[in-house]
Amino acid sequence: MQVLILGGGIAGVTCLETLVAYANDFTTDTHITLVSATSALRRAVPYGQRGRHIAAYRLEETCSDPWEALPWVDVLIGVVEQVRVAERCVYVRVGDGAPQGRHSAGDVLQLRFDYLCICMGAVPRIPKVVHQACASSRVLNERILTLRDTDSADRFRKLLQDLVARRQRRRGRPSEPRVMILGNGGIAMELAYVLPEVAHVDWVIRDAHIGHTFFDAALSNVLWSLPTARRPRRRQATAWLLAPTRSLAVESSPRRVLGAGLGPDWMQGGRRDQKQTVLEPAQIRVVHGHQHWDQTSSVPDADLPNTNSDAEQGSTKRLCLHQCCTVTSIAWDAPGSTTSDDAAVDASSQASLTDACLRVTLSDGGVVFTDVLLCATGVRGAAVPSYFDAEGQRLLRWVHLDPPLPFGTHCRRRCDGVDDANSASDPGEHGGSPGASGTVVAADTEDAEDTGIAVDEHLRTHARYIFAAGDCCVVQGASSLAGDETPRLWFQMRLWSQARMMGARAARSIVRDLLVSRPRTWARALKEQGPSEAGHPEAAVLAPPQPAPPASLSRDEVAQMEAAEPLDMELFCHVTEFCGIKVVLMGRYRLECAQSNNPEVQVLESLRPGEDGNPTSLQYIRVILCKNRLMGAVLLGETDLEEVYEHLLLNQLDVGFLGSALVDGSLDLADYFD
Amino acid sequence: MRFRDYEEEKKYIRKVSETRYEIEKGFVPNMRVDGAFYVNESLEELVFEELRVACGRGSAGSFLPAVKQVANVASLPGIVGYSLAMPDLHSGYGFAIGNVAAFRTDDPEAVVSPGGVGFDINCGVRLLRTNLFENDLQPVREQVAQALFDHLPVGVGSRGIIPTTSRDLEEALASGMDWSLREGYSWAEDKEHCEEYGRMLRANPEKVSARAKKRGLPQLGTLGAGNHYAEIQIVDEIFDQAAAKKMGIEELCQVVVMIHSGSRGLGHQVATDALVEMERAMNRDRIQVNDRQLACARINSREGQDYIAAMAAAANFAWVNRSSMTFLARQAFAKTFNSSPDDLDMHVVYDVSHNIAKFEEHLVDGRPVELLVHRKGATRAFPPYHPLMPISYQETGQPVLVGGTMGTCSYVLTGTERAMAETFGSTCHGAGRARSRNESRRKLDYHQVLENLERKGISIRVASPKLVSEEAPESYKDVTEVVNTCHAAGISCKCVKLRPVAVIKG
Repeated sequence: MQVLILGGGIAGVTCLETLVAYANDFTTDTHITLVSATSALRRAVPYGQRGRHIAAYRLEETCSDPWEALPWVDVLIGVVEQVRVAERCVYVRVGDGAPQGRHSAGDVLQLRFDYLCICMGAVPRIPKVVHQACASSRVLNERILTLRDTDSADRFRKLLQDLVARRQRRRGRPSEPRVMILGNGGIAMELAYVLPEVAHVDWVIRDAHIGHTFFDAALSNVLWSLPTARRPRRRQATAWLLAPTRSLAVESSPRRVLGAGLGPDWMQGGRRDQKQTVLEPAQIRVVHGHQHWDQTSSVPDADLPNTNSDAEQGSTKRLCLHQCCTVTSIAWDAPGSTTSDDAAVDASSQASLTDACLRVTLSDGGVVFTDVLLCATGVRGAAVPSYFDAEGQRLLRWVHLDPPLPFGTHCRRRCDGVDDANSASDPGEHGGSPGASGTVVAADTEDAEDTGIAVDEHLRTHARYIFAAGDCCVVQGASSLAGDETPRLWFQMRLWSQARMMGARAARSIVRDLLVSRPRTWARALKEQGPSEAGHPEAAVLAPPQPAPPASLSRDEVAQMEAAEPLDMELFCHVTEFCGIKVVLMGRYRLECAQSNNPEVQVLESLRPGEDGNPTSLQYIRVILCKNRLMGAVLLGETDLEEVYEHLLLNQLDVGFLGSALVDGSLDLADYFD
Repeated sequence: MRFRDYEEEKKYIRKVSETRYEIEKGFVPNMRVDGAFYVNESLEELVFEELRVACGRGSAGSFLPAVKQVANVASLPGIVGYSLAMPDLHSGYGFAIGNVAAFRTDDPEAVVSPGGVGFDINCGVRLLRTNLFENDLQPVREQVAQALFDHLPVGVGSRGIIPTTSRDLEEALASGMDWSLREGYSWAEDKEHCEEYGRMLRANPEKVSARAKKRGLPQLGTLGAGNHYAEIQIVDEIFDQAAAKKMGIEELCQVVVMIHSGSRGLGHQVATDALVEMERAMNRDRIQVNDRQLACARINSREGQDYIAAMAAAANFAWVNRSSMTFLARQAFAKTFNSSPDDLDMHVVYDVSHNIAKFEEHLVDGRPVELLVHRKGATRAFPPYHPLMPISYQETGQPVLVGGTMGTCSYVLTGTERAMAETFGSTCHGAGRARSRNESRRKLDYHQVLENLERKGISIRVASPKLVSEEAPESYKDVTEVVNTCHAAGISCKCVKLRPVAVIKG
């Protein structure tokens, strides 16, 4: 049995780790290969369980060492060229990231698979104008960075350090580097939180409020108004930014291969093969309680209260926010006449770069000069149709990753999803081309929409033996165990925590499938299975070629395994930290979800000082109730209430009688529901 | 219905001794028996203050004060004696935390109520002793704490440190600590020192819903968050040398380990499932209760029997959970002190359950009767020479483990005859709600932020901008006050006081 995992990110590595955990259930001929584009694999290491679904992880870079002891596990560094579904093999171009033993870099290998798990992650979605600017000139390309993986983060550090160093060398008035951040997601927010320590920052966001990816406007406002209690985090990140980096070769063309996503703690530094001790909140010394920044839009040189207070840094750096804006053009602005003599000494094409900068025109008419443009504008699924052969393109389906819908409209949509899935597995209606159905996207264009491979809740794609997990897939038609009348409390978001969950889930699906299908010949299996499964004509083509080994699981045992499948697709949970504040998001927490003019929906909020009585540790709690049942919750700060809200979300108990006591702290909830 | 004011309400509550108050019939409608609670002078203020605040709220009140809940329980069919509350009482779902209520099993009307058990079924405390002393611990305190932290699993994925499959779960649900023993996670002696020998015989895993099992499986052997913890403690004071010696606690400064955990999500789901089922059964059987949260079913009805079987299974899960953590704590100590758990004498002193309903024999009007005793936030405290006591504790009475609020001190008490006579052999379980804060500071900062938001034109819909101090009484119930009340009332005796040196939270 050949199990092939494509991708060395969190989903892929978790999938491998989970498969390895089931090693005892495999026969000796089982072989697992993981193909990773870079030699640094990313794994999630748990460090705090906040509840059944709510765990905090830190991400760690690792190499293939942990698996070297297992002869039946291979980690191959290479790039996927093509997935041939018809022949059940994958063509991989061997990379030069690590010693390959038998293979030399550049070779194209054909890897056969019995089971394939696609965990190819996501690639940055770069705005057209930025892309064009990069393509138009080499100098622009050097100053426009897309932050996505560790390499690009390192590259940015290097560039920033160069700029800081050059500016310091200059005679006359030294000026700080100017950085523009484009995007409104997690990475952009983290950058905007840290970078004002070392640079003047212009932050351009398309939306009306900060953090649109995670927050609705109200929540965003609250978060940015809370005093921050974790200054050390910012200082640590600054130190990391300015720490010496290994030199990197200048990249001439946009890379096709990207490493795995950055994860939540990427600016903490020292990530490579290094475990980091986790500081308990109590150990962190609280420095100041000040606001992050003023919310006023596009006010240059507005003094930021928090940066001023930082006496140690003596910082005068600024952050300027441009809301509801996009970039309309980027040009190279080389002020030839004002070139300093320092630059002339360098006598290279690099020389003028010291003073020259980017001139960025915004959609609101403003023009901003900046040294570096950081693009953090989100991602889209990387496993695009062009990776697959005709058979793959015919069987697999690409669908949009839609944001969660309000409660009222939800049920209908879900039914639609189910219908879609059914019609797809039915050859009669399916048609030959993937573009036949409205939701299916065929083309891989530059501005491609955010799409992924459609999978069901067991991470199965429409092609038998092919699974997909993580950022590259879109989960469809999963049903809520709580029953049909309650809206689903889980939705998909491109998060490392979900990538991890999906990786493990896909692995378990593979194990189940492997243990069930192995002992039977395919013809028999067709007879035994229900009509829905028999409707897979392609399944017959892809039948496992081996005869059945004797050992296998009974139906009961498989049913049991399925029963043991965790409820992790039942409740959306995400624990992270933004701007030094712990953020817990659970269920349908966004106000957009609640505002469907539904009189049964109720929102409760509270803001109160933390349990420790410390003035800076404020807590914000929001819960959304529908028919007096908890639908979603947001916790900002150290509330220690994650577990009890998680219980209430899963219990779906009528808690209307508690009224405001549900959030205002007048009742010890954990005790009340003990 | 007219709402009585606080002074009128107070007339129904009568002080009968220094530590005992009784709630007369009529305090709430349909009371079948009187209520009673144990408080001393400092604790009574809290109880009455809570009632006063609730009276002020009138009908708009969101949740009932504990005394009202105790009285409502007194109205349940089949209740005998009193609806009792321990000194650490405070409001909970349906029953107050600290409420003890017994129902005659020979009464066909008598009920079982999930609210009387709680959501975290068989939440309890286990104490492990060691032969180490503070001196041995002090130099390696950090390492021990870290080792414990590392060893107690975070329960991610279906295969944690202690591998469990769904089949394991079924067996654990059915056989409790016998499963742990068979799998090698527990010592044979351990179960001697557990209530029910770590196994509820009425358990039936089939009565536990698939959803409950899904919630429970990844959590087996995990501590949990919220009010659950493991603590390394030091013997601070010994009140009863002889009894302490029986427990293997010989001297001051001896190191012990306390584990406080329960059945986690599985218990929550079992309770929730039962509440839904029982609401239906109540309509059918025409059972009327004062409070919707007091959903209950006749003991002999299908719903009642199903719940008892499922609750027993959840109880078994909790014992397995504590046993798994015992195993891991032993490993952690063995590793740090480079010795075996045997050589470190890491025996279980006792394991108590404080969220459970059990069939027990008690004397009612001088005759032995089988009762279903609900203890929610209350601990069994059987006296010396009780037939259910293990041989080692025949002379001392049952050890009662009272965990303080995380980070404060804890106590070991022993059961008494008086508890058997007055409280169905029950005593307190821990501190009440713990909140101690610098209120003025809190208020200031809170309002600053609100103003700040307003200034920027951001309105946030704060449900109730009132603070704890304005809404509820100063609700810190010190574990020492609670324990002293129990001692003074004679429903248990102080034996050992413990103070924590390291706290581990899951």
